[in-house]
Amino acid sequence: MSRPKFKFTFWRVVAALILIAGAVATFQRFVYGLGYATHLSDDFPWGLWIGFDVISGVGLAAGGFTITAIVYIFNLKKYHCIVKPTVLTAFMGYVLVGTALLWDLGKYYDIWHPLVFGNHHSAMFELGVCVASYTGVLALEFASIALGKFKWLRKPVGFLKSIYIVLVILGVLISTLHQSSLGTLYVIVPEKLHPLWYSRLLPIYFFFTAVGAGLGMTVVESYLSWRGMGHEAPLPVLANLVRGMVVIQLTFFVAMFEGLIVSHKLGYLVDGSFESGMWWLEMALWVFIPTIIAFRKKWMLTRLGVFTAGFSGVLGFLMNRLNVSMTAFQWSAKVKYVPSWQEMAVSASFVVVSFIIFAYGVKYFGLFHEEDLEPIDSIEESAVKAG
Amino acid sequence: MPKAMLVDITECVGCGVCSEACKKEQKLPGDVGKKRDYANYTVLRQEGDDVYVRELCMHCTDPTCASVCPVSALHKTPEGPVVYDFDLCIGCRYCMMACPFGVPKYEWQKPIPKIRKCIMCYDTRIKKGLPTACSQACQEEGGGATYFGERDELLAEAHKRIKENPDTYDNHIYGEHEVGGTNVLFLAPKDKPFKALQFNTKLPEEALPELTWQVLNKIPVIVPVWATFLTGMWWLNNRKEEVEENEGSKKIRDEKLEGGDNE
Repeated sequence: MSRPKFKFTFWRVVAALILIAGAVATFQRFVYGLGYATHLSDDFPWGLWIGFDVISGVGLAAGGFTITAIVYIFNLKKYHCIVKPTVLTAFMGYVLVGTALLWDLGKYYDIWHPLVFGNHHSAMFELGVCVASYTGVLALEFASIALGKFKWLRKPVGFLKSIYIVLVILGVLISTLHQSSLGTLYVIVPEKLHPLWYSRLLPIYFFFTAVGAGLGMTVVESYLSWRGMGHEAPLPVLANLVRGMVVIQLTFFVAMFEGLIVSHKLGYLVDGSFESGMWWLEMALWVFIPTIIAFRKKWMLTRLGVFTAGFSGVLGFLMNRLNVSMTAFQWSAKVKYVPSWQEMAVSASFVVVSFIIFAYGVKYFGLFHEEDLEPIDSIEESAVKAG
Repeated sequence: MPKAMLVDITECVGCGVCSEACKKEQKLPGDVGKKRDYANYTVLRQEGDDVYVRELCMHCTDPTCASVCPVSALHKTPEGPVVYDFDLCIGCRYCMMACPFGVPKYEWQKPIPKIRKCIMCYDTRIKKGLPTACSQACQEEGGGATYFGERDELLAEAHKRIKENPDTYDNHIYGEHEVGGTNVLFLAPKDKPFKALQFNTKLPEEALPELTWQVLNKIPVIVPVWATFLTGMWWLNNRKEEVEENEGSKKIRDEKLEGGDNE
């Protein structure tokens, strides 16, 4: 087999530069400590690594449980074509979140402690146990999807396939718990979070919006793999995911807005502060723009329309999680926090690594090919024709 | 009975022997600082000309830091102090995020950092029945503003002081009810009440861990319900297919549909 020649493209050079910066930052963080490598302080103890790598990262990987639930529990077979890529992304996402956490934890080598010395009154404990066990479930789901091509693994893979529905239901249960407990983390700081984002219902908001983010992220992944490798899921399927995302976001928006009304917080929306601006930007990205696009039939027939809506939803989701973890907390903190270049380099490196893994996954595991399920192909084709 | 400290701000002269005694007792590096950090468990904050406020861990009755810690590295002892176990700690800093008084501090400059906070001299003094280093120094060398004793006795003393000298004291004992009560109590002067001294006077009387617990205690309720629903939906949605595959029933359905159309 001849090795394909490695070409230096613009994005590859950018990726390499980011990874080099990430490596330098990693060295500084582990040798000189968090104080040297980050702009964190006693007054602002959680920064970009928690807000982006962990809190946003777990949400972006929510496609795994959302799509498997749609396909296997609700038996909507035409979405089967996106199960493989979303399960891979989810699995990869959770592994990367667990890895990224090592950068942020002071005693990273004791990361397993919550599993053994757990304090069950802590939302963080629940989060740790759920993320660990869900990563295990995803590993099994992914194994049953991707390892079937190895002959000598047929038997265990066959067994996993026979209990696949159990894995799916377990996955949805555990995801419900930990997607919501990311919000629960902030329920205990009522006087520290900006009123626009603080709510005792944060766990419920976080769960619903994670489902929306999972759908949006599936669309984005499909776009990226089309750009990069020419593989993609059928457009009508993706368009429906965007519509689903819009319905979830609108439902969330109404519930959240009602919350603002009954707790007399509407004034904060028009006080012209930095926080109010961030709130409107967040809502524009993950509610208003996708909604406008989704209700224009013409736009939803084009790749550009569908992907713009999906991208906007995902960006809005990111804005929300960063707003809760950083903007809203900044409001009460005594110091201004701006991430250091090391923090940004490490976070960006994780994004680059996930792109690389996803690209190899698409290539190596044939993620957008459906070879083993004939009856579904016909359904898919009819869906394409209908669209 | 839980031990506690009462700080009568009207009696504090700002000499700072409390901070010095703390440094010595806890073997903290450097000189006494102006801000609480990893090397300063207790400091004095000057408010106006001659009012000094001690800052230290409040040792809550139901501590937020202990409830959020995923590994119980922080915990409340029966004697009153909230103490820390470095061997359990994973360095996640959730305690720092959650503490309503901003007490836990971090050794940011160290590769393997500890959480640092006042532990009410638990190992070296409370366990042996001795008063805390700061309160002893204050009584023997300082202005005598920090008292050590049983919580209920100190509370009674504080109430007595307010009742006997209503013109001297702000009519409030900070720490009696804040976030479920604390084991460090404050009395403030009438002309400079707690709000003016930058105490957080908006804290609820309910202990904050209750907020999280109200969410977490729903989990055992939600899981069986959600599991039943999901399994049921799976059964229902996959059953449709079985029914459709059954030719006989399909035929019957088709006939029925045709019949319906004719009508």
